[in-house]
Amino acid sequence: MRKTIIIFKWEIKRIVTNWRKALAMFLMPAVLMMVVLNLIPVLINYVTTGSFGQKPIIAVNAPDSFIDYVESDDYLFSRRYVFEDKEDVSSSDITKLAKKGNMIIKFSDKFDREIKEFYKELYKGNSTPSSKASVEIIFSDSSIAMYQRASQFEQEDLVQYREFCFDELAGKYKKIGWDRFETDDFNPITAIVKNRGTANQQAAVIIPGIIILLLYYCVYSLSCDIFAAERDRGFMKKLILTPLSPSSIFGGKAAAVTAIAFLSSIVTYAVLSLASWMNIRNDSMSLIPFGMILTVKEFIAFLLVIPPAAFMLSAVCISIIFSLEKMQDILMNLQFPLIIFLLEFFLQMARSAPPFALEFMIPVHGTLCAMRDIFATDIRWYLLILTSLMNILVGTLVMYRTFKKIGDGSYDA
Amino acid sequence: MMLEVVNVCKRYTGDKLTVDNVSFSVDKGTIYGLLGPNGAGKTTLMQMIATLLKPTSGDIYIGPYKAPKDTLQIHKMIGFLTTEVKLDPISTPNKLYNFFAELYEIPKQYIKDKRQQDFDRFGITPFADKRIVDLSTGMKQKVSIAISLIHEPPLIIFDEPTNGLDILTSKLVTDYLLELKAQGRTIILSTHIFSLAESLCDEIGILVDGKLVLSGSAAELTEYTNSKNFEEAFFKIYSEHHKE
Repeated sequence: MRKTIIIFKWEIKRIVTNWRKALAMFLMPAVLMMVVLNLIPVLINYVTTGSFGQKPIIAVNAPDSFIDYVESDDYLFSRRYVFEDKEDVSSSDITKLAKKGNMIIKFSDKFDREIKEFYKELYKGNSTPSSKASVEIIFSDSSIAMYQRASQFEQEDLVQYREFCFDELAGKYKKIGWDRFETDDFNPITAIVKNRGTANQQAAVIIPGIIILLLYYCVYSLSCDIFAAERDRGFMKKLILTPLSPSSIFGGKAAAVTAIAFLSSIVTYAVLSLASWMNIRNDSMSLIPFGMILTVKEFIAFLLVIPPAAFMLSAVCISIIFSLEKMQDILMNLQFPLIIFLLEFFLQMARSAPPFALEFMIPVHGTLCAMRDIFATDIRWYLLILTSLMNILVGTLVMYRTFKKIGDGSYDA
Repeated sequence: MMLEVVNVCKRYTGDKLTVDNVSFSVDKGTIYGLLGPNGAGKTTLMQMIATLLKPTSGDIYIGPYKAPKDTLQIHKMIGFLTTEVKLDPISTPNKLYNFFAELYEIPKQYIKDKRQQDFDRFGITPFADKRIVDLSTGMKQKVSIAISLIHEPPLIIFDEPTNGLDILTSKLVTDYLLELKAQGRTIILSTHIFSLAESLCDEIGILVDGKLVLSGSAAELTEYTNSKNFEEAFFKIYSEHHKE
């Protein structure tokens, strides 16, 4: 065991003290992925609207309350607005603008007055008052991006604007309606809580796939360096000729691969979280929504599911490496799981139903399902433990088979 | 007896034997050379002695131990050197030396002095903190020697010791081999350089197509084949035993 630890420490030091390797292992993949994920909405915008940046929303006949809302501190989003008078934009202009990829919101006449009247009626005791106040959202339905943008506006901006209107325009009704004042309004965490619900749900279909992809990339490149390249350049022979059993050598190396891959996953999560909180624009096509964050309990669950998956992936990579001799064959075969995980990433994005219990029994895929549960705030602990145990069990079997082969001499160093 | 090889055969694939029923023994404090052309089976035989390969049949004894049963004890007794082995490119000689010292369980209080002594012996000291990838081929080989012999093994297996080295480093290596012999160490080296075999080895085994066809000192082999010199003797032996 002591000698396994010597090998483990050596490999960890070797990677961590080499800034190029450390950067390649820990930061580069996550940062690259972050860039890619932020580029996708920009590209989609370009393809659908012909413009790299998101076009401003054209607000026609906007009431004072809406202008105040957009300019207030309560406004969390950084969507840009252009305010136009009703007289300056005709119906045909609106149609043309929509066709060009603009989103237009058109307010009914005397909007603020209508809202005030509405609350007045409520104050008087009329429980079902009518109102002529309306907001039209006009966009071209030929574009999915525009449809997403419109529904995001409806679900996020309009909901918050309604609350703003209540605060500003409800008058006396505010006192008998309901008190919206909450102690949490003074808490900066309120912003997090407000956003994480929807953001985490959206992240649940994206982030697990990214983490598994990057985890495999990390295990793949580390295994290539620590096992395949060392064997290729003959350094493995030097280690095998020391008074250490092959299981100590390979066990220490496998543990190092698992540990570094685990750390890399934490960095990936941190970078993606940061990316999410930096995504203030919260473009409707953003793959990392604004406000994604895990609670302490969820983060602990996340930390629990990753190491067994990293171990399982290490076992697979080591097994592939020791079943082949030529470096090019190894590299080619190690890329097959990468393709599978890429496919799985897209499948998870398209999937709306939560994972079935049986899926948790499939190594690595089970981890992906468990992570999906974690981000969707629906942790099923027994399934989380089941998938971790399956990863450990299958990983141990694969590792045992590989080490036995090496120990038997079926593998010649 | 430091090494005894008994009827050792090695077959990789198919029917062809890469090493065919080879037997020889080496006494303590002597240098035994395996001489043969490329593909004769020298490296395979050396790797079997070093326990890196398993013989298809036959036995190998190193001191009181039998390979591969007592592999870990044998590893403590041998130092295996080959120019093919490339050290970890991003490490430094210092880091590698400390790592191997830990693996061979050299007491910590001795490591610093021993490293200084070994590095001075090979002129590694000025390069001790440079990355391996930045060192010259000769310096890499010197570092490799210092690391491989860190545990002062009684049996040293040296596969093609001067292959790819410049004349200065080659000279340093051959001088070092003689110094090790003088210390009472046993050395087995494989080579295809006649002058090296003739000048260094107490006994030379001629390996042709995986078979050990003849062995003896350079003088004995020259006399046995009625040749003018050892080089001529080798070619006579080779042409007599080589099958197309």
